[in-house]
Parts: sequence; C-alpha cells; structure tokens
Amino acid sequence: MIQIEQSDREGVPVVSVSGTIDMYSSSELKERLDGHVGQKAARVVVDLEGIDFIDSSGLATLVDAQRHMKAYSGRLQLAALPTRVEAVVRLMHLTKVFEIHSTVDEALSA
Amino acid sequence: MRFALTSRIRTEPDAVRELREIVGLAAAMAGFEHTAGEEIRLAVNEALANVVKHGYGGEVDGPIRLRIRASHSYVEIVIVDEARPIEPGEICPRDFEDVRPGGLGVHLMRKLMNIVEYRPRSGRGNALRMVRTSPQIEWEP
Repeated sequence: MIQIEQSDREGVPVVSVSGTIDMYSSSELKERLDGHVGQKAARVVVDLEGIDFIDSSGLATLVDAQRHMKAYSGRLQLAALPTRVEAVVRLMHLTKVFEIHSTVDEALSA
Repeated sequence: MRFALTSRIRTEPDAVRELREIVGLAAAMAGFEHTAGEEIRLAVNEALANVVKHGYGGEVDGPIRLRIRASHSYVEIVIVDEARPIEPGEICPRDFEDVRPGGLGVHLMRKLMNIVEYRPRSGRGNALRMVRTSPQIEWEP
C-alpha cells in the first residue's frame, strides 16, 4: 500500500510518500507527479522517508518525472531516502540521475 | 536450518506482496544478512512483476506457483506460471542507463541473484529458477 501526502513549504511542493512503491502502486505516484509536471512546477521535493520498499517500476516513475521536469528546466529532488532505497538507487546507477538530499530541509535550501 | 515452501497464488496485489515478505523471511532463515535478504526479495518482486505484466497482461487472476528452498547461505526460488510460453531469446534485459518504465526487472534479477534461468514449460507456461549463494553482490564502480 502507498500513502501520499502533499504539502507546500516555502512555495515548493513536497510530496511525502510512505509504504510500498511497486507495480501496483507506482501508477498512483506517477499520477501525483504528472500533476506537478503538467503545471510546470519549478521544483518538487519527493520525501521518501516513509518508504519500506521500492522496485524498478517505482524508480522508473521517479526517473520519468525527473526527465520531464528537466525538459523545462524544472528540478525533481529526492529527500530522506531510507538505506534500503538508497542501495537500490545506487545499484541501478541512478545516483547521477537524481538530485538526492538527506532531508527535506536540505533539499529546500539547495 | 533448512526451509522449503511451495505457495500457490493468484496475481492479485496482496498475494504477491505477501509472497515477497515470505521470501524475505526465508532468506533470513537461510542466514543471509538483512541487505542480502532485501536484494533477494527485490529480485523475486521483479520476477513476479514480469509474470504479472508480460505473462498475464496485468490480470489479477493468473495462477503462480512459487517454491522456495533455503538452507545455510543458499536460497533457491522457482516461479512457475501458466501464461504464454516465452522463449529465453525473447527476454531482453535493458541496461541500467536506459531507465524508463518497464524493462529493468530482468537486469536487476541477474544483478541480484547468482543464477537466473528461464525455460518454457512444454505448451503451458514458464518456469523461472533463481539462486542466491553470495552473501554480497558485486557493485560496479
């Protein structure tokens, strides 16, 4: 199951995701992120602190959003990755693709 | 400790997720450390995702049989489906550099497990066998 909460901090949308991002739930995350992409959001922070599992479909969803935002010079920032999630990101060689921060505060001030 | 389990499910979300958790437990019982257990769990997830998406076209009623055998530092997982038989030559792992929705599961499975073998079952479905023996995987720099 996935839970997604959205907030606005300092004018920046923060999408806080918890639970599981897998083939059954990644579409829900995609829908939320597509909304921001569609509005040409300058920045979006995705807070992943509450994630206990992410698979290739989940990461591909994040990459897809990042690429769409980059196309209009927007920024997708990932924050607070749990160790297991960061391990998968590194395994898939995505550390150079994503802008990753330890905390949401750090992402907001970057 | 030796552990063996065969589970039959349909491809609906809760059943697939529960199988994923069982695999994690089996890995722990086989003595794999937490990180390796998570890697095995992810590999099985990717395999199940491929069965669901490519074998059964996303339907939630496809039968899957999963057998786990585990002993000290050894986990073998066999996943059998009744979907369209797929020839091994049809399976094309995508390179990690080409990240887009779909296509990375096979690459991940081969990275996370020591053995990944596909074979169609004569006239009915496919069997996938994965084995993990290494306590750690080799990460490319």
